[in-house]
Amino acid sequence: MDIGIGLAIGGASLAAFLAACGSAWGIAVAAEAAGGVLTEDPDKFGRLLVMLALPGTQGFYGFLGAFYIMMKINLLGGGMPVSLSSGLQLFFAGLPVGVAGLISGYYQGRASAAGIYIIAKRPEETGKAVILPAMVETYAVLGLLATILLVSGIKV
Amino acid sequence: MQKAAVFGHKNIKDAVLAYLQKNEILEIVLSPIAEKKSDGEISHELELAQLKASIDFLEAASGKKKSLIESFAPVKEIVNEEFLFQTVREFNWMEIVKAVDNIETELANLKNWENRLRAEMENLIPWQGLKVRLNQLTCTAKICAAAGACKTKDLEELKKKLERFSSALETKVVRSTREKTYLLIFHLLAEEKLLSDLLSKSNFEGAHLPVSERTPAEEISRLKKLLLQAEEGRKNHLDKIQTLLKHKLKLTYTYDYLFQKELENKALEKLLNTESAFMLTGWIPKKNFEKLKTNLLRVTPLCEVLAILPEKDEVPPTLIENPKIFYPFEFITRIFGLPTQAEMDPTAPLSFFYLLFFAMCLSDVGYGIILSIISCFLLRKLTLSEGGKKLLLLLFWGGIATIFAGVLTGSYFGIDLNTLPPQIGNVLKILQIIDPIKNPLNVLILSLALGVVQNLFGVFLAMVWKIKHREYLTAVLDHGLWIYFLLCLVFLIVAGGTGSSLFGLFYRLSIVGAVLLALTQGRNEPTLLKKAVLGILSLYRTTGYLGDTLSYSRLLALMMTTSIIGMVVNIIAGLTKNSIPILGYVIMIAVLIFGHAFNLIVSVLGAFIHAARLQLVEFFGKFYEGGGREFKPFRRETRYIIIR
Repeated sequence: MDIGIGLAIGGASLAAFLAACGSAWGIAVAAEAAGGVLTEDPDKFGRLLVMLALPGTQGFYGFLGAFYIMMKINLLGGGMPVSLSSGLQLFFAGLPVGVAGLISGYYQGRASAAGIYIIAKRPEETGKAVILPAMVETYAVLGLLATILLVSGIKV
Repeated sequence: MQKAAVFGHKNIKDAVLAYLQKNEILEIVLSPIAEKKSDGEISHELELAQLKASIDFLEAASGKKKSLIESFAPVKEIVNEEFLFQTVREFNWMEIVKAVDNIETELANLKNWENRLRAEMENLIPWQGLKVRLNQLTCTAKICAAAGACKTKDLEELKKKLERFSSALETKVVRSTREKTYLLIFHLLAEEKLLSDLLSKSNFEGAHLPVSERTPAEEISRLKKLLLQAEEGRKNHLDKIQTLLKHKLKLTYTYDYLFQKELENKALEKLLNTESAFMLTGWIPKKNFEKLKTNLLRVTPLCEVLAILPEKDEVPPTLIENPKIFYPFEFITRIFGLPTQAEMDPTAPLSFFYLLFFAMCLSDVGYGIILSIISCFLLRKLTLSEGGKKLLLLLFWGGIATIFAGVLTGSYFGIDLNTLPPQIGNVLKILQIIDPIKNPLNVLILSLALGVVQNLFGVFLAMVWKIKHREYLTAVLDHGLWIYFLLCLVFLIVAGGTGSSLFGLFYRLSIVGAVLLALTQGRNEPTLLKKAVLGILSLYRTTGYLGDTLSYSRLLALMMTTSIIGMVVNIIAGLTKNSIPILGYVIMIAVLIFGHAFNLIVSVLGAFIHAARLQLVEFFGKFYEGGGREFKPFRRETRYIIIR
């Protein structure tokens, strides 16, 4: 019984922490680029802040996945018995958003940095710069979706 | 767009330009045979650069921070034209610029001086303990002193080396810290060369002490006094800046005044001039042509306006105009690029979808209300550029739509409807059509269905456009067939999913579609083999449509992110409530405010971007290429103020 819950929590925590690491990493990459631009032109802070926030969504998706698993086993409401096999299923269900978030978070950070260079040279093209990192995010969204659909399909 | 030419006597040139500038009606282009020279006008570029530098300097010195909103949409003061001219005429801006320039140079000099003093001081600080005058350390006829430092852990070894090197040597430790030891080595002048070789090999850092009549301690206090002087000088300058700051506003006036002059000069350069007449050519929206003609003749009868044909390779600029309800959505079109002359303006078709997707992503009544109120407030308070106004209007309507979506998904600041008093909760539950947290699959199906609708609509638009341009064959074979085939596939999937008996029928219809596509899609290829291969390969585009449709699943993900994070904020706030008596409630309120504000910002950003992306990538991909050049009429452009 206990191992089942442990595995489910393992899946939830992997989903949350891997994706959060991806976001942190991505934001740091983008922040390095933003720092360089800000030394030249501090007025662009507002626009760059938007670019920095973009790789941050993976962390939320991971958290969301984790929360979904927690709800599934009613962890916040006192917990419920989880069999070993259900626990294992929930463990693996947490992985898509975690791993996709980790890797796409980093690469979205790089795409954000590229967008930041656009804003540095052509601030009037901020709209286009914002769209570039959103292309990467699609795959984090798919990871989240996979997790959600898997979790909702598992019978505890 | 219509190309127009204005002819007139040179005396009315200024009047014509003033009229055009005021009405923002015509984009002036370089006349085909204009020689590029300004007729006696002086360029203001240098003066503008000087003014800009002064304004920037004063701005930085004033220490005023721009708010976050201002960095997106700078607030411009509105100035009356007469008043502007009057002010600039009476204002001796050259003097102010010179004064600012002087202060800037002097401040830079002071800064350099301070840095130099600080460096000297730092150099001397380790030698403070030395009680001799510094000039006593200079070489005598036979003996010299070498000053420097080594690592404290290497000191003993160095001493041993020195003992071995020569017996006529005296070492004195001046100061020793845990890391470094500063020493003086007195040695014979004759051995200097060899000694310095030895020292440099032993990692000894030589120090250059200044030659002075004072001891190091005295020298340091002298430097400190000088630093105070420099500080004093800087303060004086800062006071002077304060008095200059009141001229900053007038400097910005002057800047924009000269900027107008510069724009006029640039426009003048594009004209064709003869002894006594001029010709001006440019683009004008077709519907405004007659207006220009009649109004210009009213301003001055000494001119003539003609419609002319564009040059062979000349591309007309694009002006997109939409009815007032679609106006804010031009913001999304502009992100991608304006349509060329041969394309339709996608603003109206995308507007409905954009609003719907934005609302689905945010889908919370509370957030919708707050977003609408904030954007409405900013719209009233700020003087905005065209783009800023569009963006805020977009967010305003997005907020309104979000309220409706929130009612349908039963989301009110992420509050669990079961915890509300039953009278309210039950009513809201009746309004709730779909619960994304409990039934994510239903929302997913809805998202994908919307994807199918928008994709097909995109192909449909492409077909309509082709029909309008009388390319009936392409319209039917390329777009019509695809719509038929995709529809068959959709029905096939639906029938398969629901176990309907129509499955067999749609299966056969789909096969027919696939065969027709395979037969027609390669029709433009020269050889029969290529026709066949490309025809069959074209079926592969189905996967493209499939991918595009799956992309709409992001609507579900974003909807859930907003509601679940809102829910988590409420849960955390609930936990803090009873943690500490009384103070717990304060913390709870703080958590609620910050948590929801944070969620609102992140979710609005996500909703804005992803709703836009679905338009730009998935929807535009079906029928729109963009790449038009914007119509830029000759008009007033200002940096700091708005001239009325």
